[in-house]
Amino acid sequence: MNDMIICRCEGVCLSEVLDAVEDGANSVPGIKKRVRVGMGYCQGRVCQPIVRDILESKLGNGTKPHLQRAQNPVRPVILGDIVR
Amino acid sequence: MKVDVAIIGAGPSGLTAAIEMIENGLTVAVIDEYYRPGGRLLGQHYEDPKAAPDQRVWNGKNIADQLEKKARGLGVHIFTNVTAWSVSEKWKIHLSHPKINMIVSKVLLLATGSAEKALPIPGWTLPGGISIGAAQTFTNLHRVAVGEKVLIAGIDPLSLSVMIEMKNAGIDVAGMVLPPISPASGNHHTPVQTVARLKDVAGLAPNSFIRTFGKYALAWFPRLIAHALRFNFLKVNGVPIHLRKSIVRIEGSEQVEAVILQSVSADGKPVGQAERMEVDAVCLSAGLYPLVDLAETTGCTLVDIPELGGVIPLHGPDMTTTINGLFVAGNITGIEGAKVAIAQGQLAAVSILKSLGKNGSITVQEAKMEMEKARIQSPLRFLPNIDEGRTKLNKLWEKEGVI
Amino acid sequence: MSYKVIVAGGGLIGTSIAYYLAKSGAEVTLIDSKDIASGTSGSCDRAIMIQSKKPGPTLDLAIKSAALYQDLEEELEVDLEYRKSGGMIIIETKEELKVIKDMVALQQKSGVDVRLISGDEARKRQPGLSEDLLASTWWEHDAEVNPLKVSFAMASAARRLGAVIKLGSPVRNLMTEKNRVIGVETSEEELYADAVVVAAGVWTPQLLKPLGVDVPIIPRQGQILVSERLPPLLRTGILSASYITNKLRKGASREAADPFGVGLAIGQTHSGSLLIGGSRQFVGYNTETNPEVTQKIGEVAVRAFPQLAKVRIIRTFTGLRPYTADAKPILGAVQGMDGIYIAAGHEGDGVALAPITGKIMAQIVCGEEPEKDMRAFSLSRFKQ
Repeated sequence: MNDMIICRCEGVCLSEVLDAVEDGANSVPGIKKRVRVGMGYCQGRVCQPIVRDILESKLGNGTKPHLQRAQNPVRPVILGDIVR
Repeated sequence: MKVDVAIIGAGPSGLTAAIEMIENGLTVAVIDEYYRPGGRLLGQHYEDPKAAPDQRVWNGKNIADQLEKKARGLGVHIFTNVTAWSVSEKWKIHLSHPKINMIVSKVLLLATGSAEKALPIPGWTLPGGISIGAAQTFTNLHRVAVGEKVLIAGIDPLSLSVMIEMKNAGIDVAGMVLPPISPASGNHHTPVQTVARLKDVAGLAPNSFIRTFGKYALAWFPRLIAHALRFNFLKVNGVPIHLRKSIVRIEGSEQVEAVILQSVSADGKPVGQAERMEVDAVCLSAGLYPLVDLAETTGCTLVDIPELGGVIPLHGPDMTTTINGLFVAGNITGIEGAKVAIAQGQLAAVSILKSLGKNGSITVQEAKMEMEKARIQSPLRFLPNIDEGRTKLNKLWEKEGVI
Repeated sequence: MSYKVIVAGGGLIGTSIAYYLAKSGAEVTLIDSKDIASGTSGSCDRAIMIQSKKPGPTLDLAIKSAALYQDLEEELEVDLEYRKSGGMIIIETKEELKVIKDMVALQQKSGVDVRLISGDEARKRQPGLSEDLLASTWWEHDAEVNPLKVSFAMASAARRLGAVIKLGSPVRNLMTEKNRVIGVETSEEELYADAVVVAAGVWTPQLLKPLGVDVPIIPRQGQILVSERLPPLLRTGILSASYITNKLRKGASREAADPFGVGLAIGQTHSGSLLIGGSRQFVGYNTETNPEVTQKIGEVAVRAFPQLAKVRIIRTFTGLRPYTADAKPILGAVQGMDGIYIAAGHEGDGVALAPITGKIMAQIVCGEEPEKDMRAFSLSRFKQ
């Protein structure tokens, strides 16, 4: 179970996510900075709901952790297509 | 390019809104990143027993085609295969288009719909592991079978309706099972909870249930919860729905070859032996969540309402947000399905028309009532506590929203 | 009895100070309102560029810091993705050439043997650079590192040496008694110490203000573009001359010409993504990314590296650089008060200067003579 992939884009598995929480991560960006979930091509569209569920169940108490926010560009764009 | 209203998303709500607005004197552009309009309609094909006899078959692709044809015919600019990668000020929509770099508009309507929640299972990244929404699109839009023998993990209104669609298309669906009991998959999937959700699909499969249980099937549903402990599975369309089996992992070297299933008690604890079932595809269903990434870049207030599917833009009963000139419609406001999305598109359009000093084909009040009607008439309830969610939202809007 | 020190701020600077203090035997508590590297240190690029440092005391510190970086991976027992791949400052106009020539002369005087190379040699060293490039600098001793790894590694090493780390713990105020800072009050508790080091970057002024101490640090927002993973294409660290001139500029006329203050700074991460920076704008504490800045940075990048036009950008992020008017950080004790030290204001030099800042601040806080005369970095220099 622990080597189950959580972040498909960056190949991060469950045990790494759990280690990040052990290390003190209390938000999704905090897990991201430690183990790279959400840094890949899909920018967390696939993995953030999963990581959020894991974090919420670890933090307990109905705590709502901070989530990663979308930034521009909200989808991958070819640089040549967007410069003026 | 300059228009009165820019709409992001050419799904049912976006197209409906576009039509309402162009019919009443506004210039409209619709942008969608997919290669064709239709959004989530494209994969939908089922029987709606609540509808009139001549409207019983719901063919999403046909509906999408009709909406697109009407919109284009009326002069709506529809851009497909184009990404609105950001918005700024009020409103510059930045496009990844070879010629049109940016659309400027007075009003922005976000109808960006929803995305699928992933269901992580050990082995889920093997070829043959596919999300239920993708399976639906393959089956109904592209007419491609996702496997020879398919297992569906996750029993919910969406996966049940897709199972029926797949079975009707002649695909061998080996069965439906519960998702894994693990911290990674959330905690709403015990047999009792799952059975309680089956009533949300009651409207969708009555023919099969009626065939299996007799014509009083619908009335039996609430009692099914108590019976969940006695019946280990139902059969719908000949497909076993294993209410007391949970998927443990997916096995295979180069692709999906088999799954390991574990029997569980009514409250989700493992009991008895694990078993191996050979399949070559697993459809993963964990629900939908509103797609708010563009909304996040606008600076509008977002709120987390699990009953509506997750984080959504805080919005009022007439589809306005905390930013003047920014409106929302469709699944981005909460996961409710196509009929509600269409009604919300109409409502948002009428609101926008009013904000620009024009009349719609119906009043805002009438549009609100249409939306309530659509909600009641929906054959599928994707989320069990939608009404509580809407109540929560309205309370928050009264407190923090712009009136 | 052990010397108790509280370090407020868990970024590159705070974690480094906590590590070196713990190494010296102090009893350290590191506090952050959110998480390690949750502020500016979570939004950096990879450059440990000596070349871009202002000749003078900052450059001297940078040279020492670079030396510490050489052994840091071994010392902290973590792979920091440290690579000594050299650095180039590319020159596109005649005006830039003059400015850089002067800078190189100053650097050579300080013992940094940067060379000026022709456009052709630049293109040979780094294939893909534009044909229009006039010239470039080249210095083989510039390096790069993964700054996130540095912060986390420093924090872990500090913890291994006995430091206590409190995350999600905002410091509400500094507690004082007469003219001495005796500890901090967080949202949960009161912590007492012999000394408090404020390493809170752009949030430092707010912590010192209630003590009547004015810390002239203002936030200067920078934006960076992140590309999809690419095969290794950058052989060395690259800055543009306009990056340097934007960093060190004063005066409103330049603002008008380019309100986003864009200059190129590119690095490639170990996973293959390019980090393409960056802008410099005074927009208060705003951390929103701006699509127009994205376009401007893209423009500058494609001009210098035409093949980047085909690359996909998957994200942008911003960080708030802590800016001081003389481009030097504020390091050292606060004059007129006891028990309170500041280590902040590194504007774009934080990655390069983190190790030496930690080492020297630990010396100062523990009452040792710092290994370098630090008067140029004192807060009191602003009183003039």
